[in-house]
Amino acid sequence: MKPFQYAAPRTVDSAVSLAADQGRFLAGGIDILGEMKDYIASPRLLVNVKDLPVTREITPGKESWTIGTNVTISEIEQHAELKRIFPGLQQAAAEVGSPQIRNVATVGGNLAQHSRCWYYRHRDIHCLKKGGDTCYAHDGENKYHSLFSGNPCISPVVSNLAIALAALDARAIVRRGREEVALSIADLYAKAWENPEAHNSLTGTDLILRVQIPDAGRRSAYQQVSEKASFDWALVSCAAAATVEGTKLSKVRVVLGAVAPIPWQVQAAHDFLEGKKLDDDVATQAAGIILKDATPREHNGYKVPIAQALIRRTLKQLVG
Amino acid sequence: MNTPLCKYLRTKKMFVPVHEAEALTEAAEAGTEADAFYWCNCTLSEIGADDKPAHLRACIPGRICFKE
Amino acid sequence: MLSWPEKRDVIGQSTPRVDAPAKVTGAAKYSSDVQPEGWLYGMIYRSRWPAAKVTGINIEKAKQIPGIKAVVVERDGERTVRFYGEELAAVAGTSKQACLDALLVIEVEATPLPFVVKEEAARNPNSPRVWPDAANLPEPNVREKGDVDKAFAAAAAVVEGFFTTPTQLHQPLETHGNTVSVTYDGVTCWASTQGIFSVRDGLADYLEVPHEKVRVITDHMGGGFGAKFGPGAEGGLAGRLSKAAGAPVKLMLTRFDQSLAVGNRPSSFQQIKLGADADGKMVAFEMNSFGTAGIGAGASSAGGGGGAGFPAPYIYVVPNIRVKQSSVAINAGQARAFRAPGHPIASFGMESIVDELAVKLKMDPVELRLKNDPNKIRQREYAIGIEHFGWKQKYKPPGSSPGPIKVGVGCAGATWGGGGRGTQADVQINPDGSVEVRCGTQDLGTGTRTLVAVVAAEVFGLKPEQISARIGDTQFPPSGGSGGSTTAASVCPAIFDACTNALQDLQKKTGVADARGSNWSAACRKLGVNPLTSHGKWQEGLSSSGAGGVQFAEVEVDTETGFVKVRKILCVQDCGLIVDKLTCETQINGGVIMGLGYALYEERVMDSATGVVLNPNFETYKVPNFADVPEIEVILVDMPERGVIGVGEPATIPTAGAIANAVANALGVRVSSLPITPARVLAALGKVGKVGSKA
Repeated sequence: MKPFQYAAPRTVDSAVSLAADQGRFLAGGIDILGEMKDYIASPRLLVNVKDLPVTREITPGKESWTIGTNVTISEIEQHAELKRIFPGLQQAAAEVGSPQIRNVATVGGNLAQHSRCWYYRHRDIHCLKKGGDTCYAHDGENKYHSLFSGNPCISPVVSNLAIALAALDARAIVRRGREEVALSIADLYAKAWENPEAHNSLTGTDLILRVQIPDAGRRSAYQQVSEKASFDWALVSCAAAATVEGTKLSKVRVVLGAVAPIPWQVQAAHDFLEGKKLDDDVATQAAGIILKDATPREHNGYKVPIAQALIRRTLKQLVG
Repeated sequence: MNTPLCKYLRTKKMFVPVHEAEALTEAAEAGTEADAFYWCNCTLSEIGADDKPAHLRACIPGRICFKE
Repeated sequence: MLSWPEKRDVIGQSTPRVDAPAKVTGAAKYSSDVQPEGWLYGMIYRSRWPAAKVTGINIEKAKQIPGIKAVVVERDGERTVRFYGEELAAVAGTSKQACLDALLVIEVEATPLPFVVKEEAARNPNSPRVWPDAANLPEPNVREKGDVDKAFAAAAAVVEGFFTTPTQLHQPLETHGNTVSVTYDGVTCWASTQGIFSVRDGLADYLEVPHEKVRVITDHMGGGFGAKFGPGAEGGLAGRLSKAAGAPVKLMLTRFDQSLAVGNRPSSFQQIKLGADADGKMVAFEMNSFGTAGIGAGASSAGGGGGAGFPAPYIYVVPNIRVKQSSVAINAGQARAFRAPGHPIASFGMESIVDELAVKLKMDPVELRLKNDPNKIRQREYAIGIEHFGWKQKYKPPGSSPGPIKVGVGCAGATWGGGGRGTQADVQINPDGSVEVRCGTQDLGTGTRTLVAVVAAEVFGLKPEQISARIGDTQFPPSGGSGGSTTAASVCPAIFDACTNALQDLQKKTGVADARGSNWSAACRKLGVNPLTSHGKWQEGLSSSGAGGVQFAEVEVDTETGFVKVRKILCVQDCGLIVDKLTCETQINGGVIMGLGYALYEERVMDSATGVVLNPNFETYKVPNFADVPEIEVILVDMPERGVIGVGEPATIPTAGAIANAVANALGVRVSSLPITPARVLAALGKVGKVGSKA
């Protein structure tokens, strides 16, 4: 990696102003240190945000839970109350990396992590996402890539938490300029849909402070399929949440991960499922709606049947 | 085989006494155990000093870097 | 002639590794841990082009980086590079960061050349040539026997298939590398190697010093799997850097570099046709195959193996065969020997087509094997396996298990040579009763040090922990490289001979009739103050060659997601006289796990557009984790009458074939390419739509 300066501010104001001059935020370091070692990113300054006040708490509330940006993935995985109230979130956390990674990786870092595309991550390939001219995955080795994209880059979002939090209608509270803004998970990634160089909607000085998850009494579930049994990225992941009465669903969300640059959700599918009694046929129809516009490439067509299976299974898990 | 081979030609089997006798033979190269890979002790590489591959049939007299 | 004792107290028991405490406490220093006084980091500058004409390398700026003590160019003058990652220069400095900074400022003048990195593209006569004066695909090696066409015409059942296997990377947990110290007195090298004498031979030639001036030490090393013979380019460069800097240089490859230039298992594309009579007796076999061994093919290997050959029809006896095999050159790092070279490739293709034949003949796959594989040991092992695995209860017609998650079983067999020769050893008995055994072998990670202690303890009537087994140093009596599963069978007889001689010498010198066991201390005291030293060497009659082995696999396959979970592997394995049951079993476990990786996960991915290896890391070059490892049951068939044989390689051969057959049995369709990924399972099931089509 290239030499860099280091700062450990104690206030959000100071963190944001430090980041303005070619800085990058550092929390768990899993993503940024990898990028620096591979010369994908060479920030002038690393701004350690781990000591910022009130960022390590998991706080229950009457209407919503708040999870600080520096809460580790392990803390979510092992939190008994979270597991009871938001099982989908806990299941998504449990599938992140390895125990060692989960012990240091944070909520904010997991949401803001960059593409894992092997062209993007290769030190000697200057791809579209890095400001080059070509998405090599398009006609190249695209087995891990997107089924949907609004721009020529087809690297997918890989944050497990984003998928689960999208299903739970969570909001990310982001410090933007002098204000705190509340972004839906869709808003948090919207820019990556259209802009090949974007990994999410955050600017260099936007800092995720916490996430808020409404406690609406909905059930939730998360499942993923990887090539290996553990410590492996999802080929496809799926999170679902709904209010369940018997087998009847309402306020349904179904979200797919690793198939688009954004957490993939289709309003028409949510509308279709509203008030329906879940059975195999309904689940299959919902999957059909969600995957209607998928455009498989040479090596990633297999993601379609996996997504279909995961949508069925995750919905079933809600009523099971 | 009777053609003299370069003194710098090496292959794994030369260092495994059970297989030493067959190491630099046509039979081993044409053989079926996919371990007839060669390197040059002058370059410690699969490519000899003249930018051509080290090989049983290539490291022979007439080659510019050949050593008896 | 010497023979192993009839009654054995230590040999054949489960002896924990004598160096286990040192390894788990961190006291054991691996080659990559060594830190001689004043050592420097070394790093390699590699080609960023898959093919290029290199006309100049400027290292002046690199020399100016603070902390840099030496920079060398790999070779002078114009040269052609032929794969991404080929070594061009190297730097040594006082910190890793200094070296990284220096690598960034090395300037290379190069003209990119056309390249090809995929086997099927490289075969095309119009594709760029790796070697300008030779086609990428040389004439095949042809083996023919009997009248194949006639036999197929008369066969009652004929099956055909096309099978592919990937390029597999060795990926030892300790990367390739050495610490080399060059001084006026000579060269000392701490090598991560499986052949200390092969490293000495290479460094002596490369640095132009006499062999006796080169000392190679390997106390502990973290795996080689066939790729760590000789010092490698990285060892030679470390030597030159050390000479230039006047300090020891440690040059261990990064995991990234490890994936590029230090060997791999060749790929294969196998078109196979197999015919049998109505009773299931195989009558005809035909194969056309090619694969790549990287840059290593071309004109010089025409009509030879070219590195990508493998045995066919493997362990089966077929009277009429026609086999054509060739190696196609691509712009990628060259293959090297890799744990049972050729055999896992051969086993996967052949065992797959054998199961297809069984399905066609409606015959039990084990029964079909017993009819066509005459090897007595494997016949016995299949019989044991059928019983222990519950094969007859578990084997069901393909695809017949109910529900979306289907269960299946499969089996496959292996053959390997092993055997031993050419090791010498010294034994020193000290007056205090302590024993030092010295042998210039090395522990590749298999437990060689423990075997030395076990054999010595057996002869002296002592416990293994009472023996100081000193290995991994070229100042000890010579032994061969650890390849071909020959270490145990080479080393154990030499230790046995040396210890037997030592015991006789001790008894003669002290007048104690039987100095073993409880008499040991008293006998040794009679030596006075001077130690006794005896020598020994490998002898006929204590080892032999030829191991079999069969494996059974049970899997479950999720037909909706394509995920394969291996439930169980049963390995029934012979290896002659078992020296240490525990290290034997753990070595088999390792072989099975490596075979599991080959079956389900591992594949080097080359990119056609850029020519790079896309997965030079453990994130996307996937090896098994604990969660992936199934129950592994090992049944050892002890055959003490055969002497020591060696077991490192046979156990990794049949695993992938057995798993592939179990997956085919579960699904009712075959995944004919390794690794068997969810993508391939779903494709085999016909669940993957066409490219560009809407879901």
